[in-house]
Amino acid sequence: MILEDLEAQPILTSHQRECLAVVADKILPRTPEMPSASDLDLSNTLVDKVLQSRPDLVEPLRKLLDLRLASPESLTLADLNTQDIETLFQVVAGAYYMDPTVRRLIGYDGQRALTLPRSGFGAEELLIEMMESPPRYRAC
Amino acid sequence: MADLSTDVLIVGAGLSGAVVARRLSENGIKVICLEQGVRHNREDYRGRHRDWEIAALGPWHASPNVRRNPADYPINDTESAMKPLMFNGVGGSTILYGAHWMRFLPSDFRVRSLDGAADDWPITYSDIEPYYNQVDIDFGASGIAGDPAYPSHPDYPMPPLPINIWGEKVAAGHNRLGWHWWPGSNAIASRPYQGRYPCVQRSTCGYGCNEGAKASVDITHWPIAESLGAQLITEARVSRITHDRYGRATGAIYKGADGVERSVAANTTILAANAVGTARLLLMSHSAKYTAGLANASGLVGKRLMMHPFTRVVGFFDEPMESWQGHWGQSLYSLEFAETRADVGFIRGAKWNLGPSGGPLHAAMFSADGRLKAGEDLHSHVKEWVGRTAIWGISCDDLPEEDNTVSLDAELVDADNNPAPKLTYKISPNSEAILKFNKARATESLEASGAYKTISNDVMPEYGWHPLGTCRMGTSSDNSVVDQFGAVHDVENLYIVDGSVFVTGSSVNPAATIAALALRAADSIIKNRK
Ligand SMILES: Cc1cc2nc3c(=O)[nH]c(=O)nc-3n(C[C@H](O)[C@H](O)[C@H](O)COP(=O)(O)OP(=O)(O)OC[C@H]3O[C@@H](n4cnc5c(N)ncnc54)[C@H](O)[C@@H]3O)c2cc1C
Ligand code: SF4
Repeated sequence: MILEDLEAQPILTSHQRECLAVVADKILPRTPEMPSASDLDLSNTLVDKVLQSRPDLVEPLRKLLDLRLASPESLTLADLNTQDIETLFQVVAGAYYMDPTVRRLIGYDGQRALTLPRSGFGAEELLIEMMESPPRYRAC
Repeated sequence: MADLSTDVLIVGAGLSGAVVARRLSENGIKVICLEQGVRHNREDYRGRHRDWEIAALGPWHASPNVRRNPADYPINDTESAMKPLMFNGVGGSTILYGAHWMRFLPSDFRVRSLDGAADDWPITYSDIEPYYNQVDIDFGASGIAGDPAYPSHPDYPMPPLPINIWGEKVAAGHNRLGWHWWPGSNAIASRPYQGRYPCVQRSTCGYGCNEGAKASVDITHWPIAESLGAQLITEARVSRITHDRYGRATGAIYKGADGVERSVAANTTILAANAVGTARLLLMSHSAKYTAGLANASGLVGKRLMMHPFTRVVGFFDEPMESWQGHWGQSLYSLEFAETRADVGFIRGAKWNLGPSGGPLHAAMFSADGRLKAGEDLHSHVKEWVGRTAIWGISCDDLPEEDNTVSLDAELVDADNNPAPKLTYKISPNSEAILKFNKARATESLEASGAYKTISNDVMPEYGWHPLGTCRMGTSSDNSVVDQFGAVHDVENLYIVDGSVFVTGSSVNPAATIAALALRAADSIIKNRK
């Protein structure tokens, strides 16, 4: 599926989003330290970001949600097959861990560009022991 | 009349194809390369973006079966205990590789003589050594010479990358245990090098390097080859190698982006489509003269597939180390258990490489017991993991077996209706024993380095990074497909230069050896023309 197709119709209906919110909270519930998925309103903007990056997840997600629309509360993860779990986790955890608040709370500030130290690789003294050890390859 | 003609035709613009194209072009030979994929721009890679992890599980996944780009062909891997990884496009698998830059050990070329199993190569370490020295320069490797696990060799052109906090911990742990370790050698720039920027430690090497610090052949080789006249045709999927009535290779047939089938006539045809793609293409090129597939007088085309069964041990440390940063790439490696040991009940061994931990989504999707964590368990697992873990990757030397194969699938086809390859691969009892033993030792290593907890898998089938060995080299067509220079024994004018020519697989990463062998093959082609 390409993005133009996605734009022709809403990525997810409001019904599907409500269902996703319930299911997402089962994967990432509120704890004393961490917000729940729905505390972040994950099933709206954050999920859309994931699906913009991963249009291939839209159809499997829609299918999975449509089957659970009537009673998302009763869903347990054990009810789902491996493929559905994979889809759901990629969408839900993918969206959750993109959120800046969540990243701050787990101490993760994203992949940064760092300058390499000019002073060496960091274990020069430890390497001396290895350098002094005899050859260990098999002669042949 | 062919649509195009050339002196040398290369199929595949990945690692080995690029090495050969560059060397031949430097020697004034006219080259055309047909590549089924496209060129990628460094800006395409998602490493700099917030969605890098989710993109890595889809459009930048290393499995063609997951990624499903137009350039990819499907692979039936349902009967393969390791799932093949690769990238199809200019640069081939070097676009996504980790750039761990390792030489084979001398014993890797002498498995039959030393361990009584598999076969010896028709060459030794010293035959290939000058080529290792040259590809270190061509790819711009960083590292430190002097590892006692190897014969001495010249310095790498650049000093090693930092081994980072987790590397220091493990180095100290190994010194306490008296176990081997060495700072990682990587085809990654640690200084400005031939137009490449130094690594910025963003750790997204496995999804394409935005900085161009990692040596992928689209930046290290193709620009040179093309500036010297090599013609690289993209979106050109080869469906058949052609031959004349005497059985000599004459070029190839491919379908272009416009859907039109064309032919290229060549004096010499070189296959560089990797151990899956090359075996597939040879089998697809069967004819009335070559009923079992081209180059298959030995019956060995597609057989002896090796995949380096792989696992990981993750160590959790109780201090923040920012271990999502760093090159991926290896911080350091250990060959403590790479050579055959007397007392362990198996032959050969494993190479370990220590790497960074990935980001939070990677942590969330990791499972040691086949079940993803949810609820409070997931929260605490991710928090415990992110920035505080170091990971040993364990790659095991699987000996070649004739039952481990690439064949043509009876039903599955690619977008051009060519048969897809089917992989049949079982992990042998010897490999299982290697994995079990090394997993236990790697756990001890991390514990000795201060990890308060470790988790691991017995084997990680999804990481078949290194398909090898499906067109082995040897002395005659009785026992092999190609000779020591990649020349096909039973089809004139045809060469194979990719990872399929390996006789045994070693436990170390194969890219440096594929590159060195390809360069050696190119030199032989040049010499034979003079
Ligand atoms: C994720 C990942 C990580 C890795 N990490 C490391 C590492 O750290 N160190 C290391 O040493 N090795 C690593 N490897 C392995 C290494 O990248 C490969 O062994 C190496 O690139 C193989 O080189 P090759 O020339 O055999 O094939 P490739 O580099 O795979 O190139 C083959 C090319 O042929 C093209 N092709 C195939 N069939 C056709 C056809 N019919 N028509 C036209 N074109 C075709 C493909 O599109 C592709 O571009 C890694 C691999 C992967 C996938
Ligand atoms: S860590 Fe270094 S080599 Fe890897 S992607 Fe970043 S800059 Fe490139």
